[in-house]
Amino acid sequence: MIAKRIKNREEARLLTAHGTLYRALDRMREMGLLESRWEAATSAAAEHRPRRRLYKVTGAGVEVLATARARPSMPAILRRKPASP
Amino acid sequence: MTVDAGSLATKVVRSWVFLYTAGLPADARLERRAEIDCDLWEHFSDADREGDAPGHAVREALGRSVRGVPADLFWRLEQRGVRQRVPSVLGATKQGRIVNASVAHKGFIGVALVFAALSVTLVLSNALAADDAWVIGEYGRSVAVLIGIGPAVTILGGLLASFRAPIVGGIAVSVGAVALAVLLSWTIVVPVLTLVLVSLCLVPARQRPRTITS
Repeated sequence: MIAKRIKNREEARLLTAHGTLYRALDRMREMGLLESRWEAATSAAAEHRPRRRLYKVTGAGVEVLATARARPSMPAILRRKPASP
Repeated sequence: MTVDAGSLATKVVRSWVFLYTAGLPADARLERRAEIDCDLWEHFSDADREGDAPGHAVREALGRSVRGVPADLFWRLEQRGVRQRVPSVLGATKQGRIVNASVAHKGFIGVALVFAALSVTLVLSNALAADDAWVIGEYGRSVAVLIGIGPAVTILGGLLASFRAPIVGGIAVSVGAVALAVLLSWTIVVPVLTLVLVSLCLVPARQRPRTITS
């Protein structure tokens, strides 16, 4: 789902590569910007699909993102607010 | 046909993931495989739902996997020196500081130290020996000593760097070791040690987390 969202942004397509995407998510998690948990096996089994890893932006992550958006040297993709889901 | 190509692409991607996660600790290995499995499932489900052109989803899935290969390899190397964020005993109780734990690879350090010491000894003993084999003059001899010692310094520098930056350190040690193996290929021992050293850089190690409190 994350990859699908990113794919729709032309300037961020390269980030959808498996290795790049999951390495970046790992790093952000290690830095405390994201939290993650695996969804319950029963929910996935009920829909006959693999379990999803669910990510949540932490307070620190929100702060870092706000700082990055405010910085004029940041790439346009980071300055732009995401469209509402 | 699309379904067949899709399942083939899934098999190819999963084989690659299986390969580069092989030998890693169970949690890292299984989590990465599960992430990619889920990603592939979502990818092909979305393509079906949105009625993507036949083959497009397959090309996209393979492309995403191929473009991510360098990052996969770096990630694999990072797992050798897993950087954990753990609270130090002192930090947790007194200063509340979270420090970056660095890891030390005992075998890697031991072999690298032996290797560097042996290499420096070999280079110096050759360079300083007063025999007629040195036909390049004093200046040439100085240059040769520097060329010989350079890799040894690279190994030791990489070794020190590996405490903080395992990947950079491992690469520096490998580069220095290979350079010395070429220079001292006649010794046989050095090339063999080089193979051991470079293998230790690549093979996942049993590491002991070390907490830095400063």
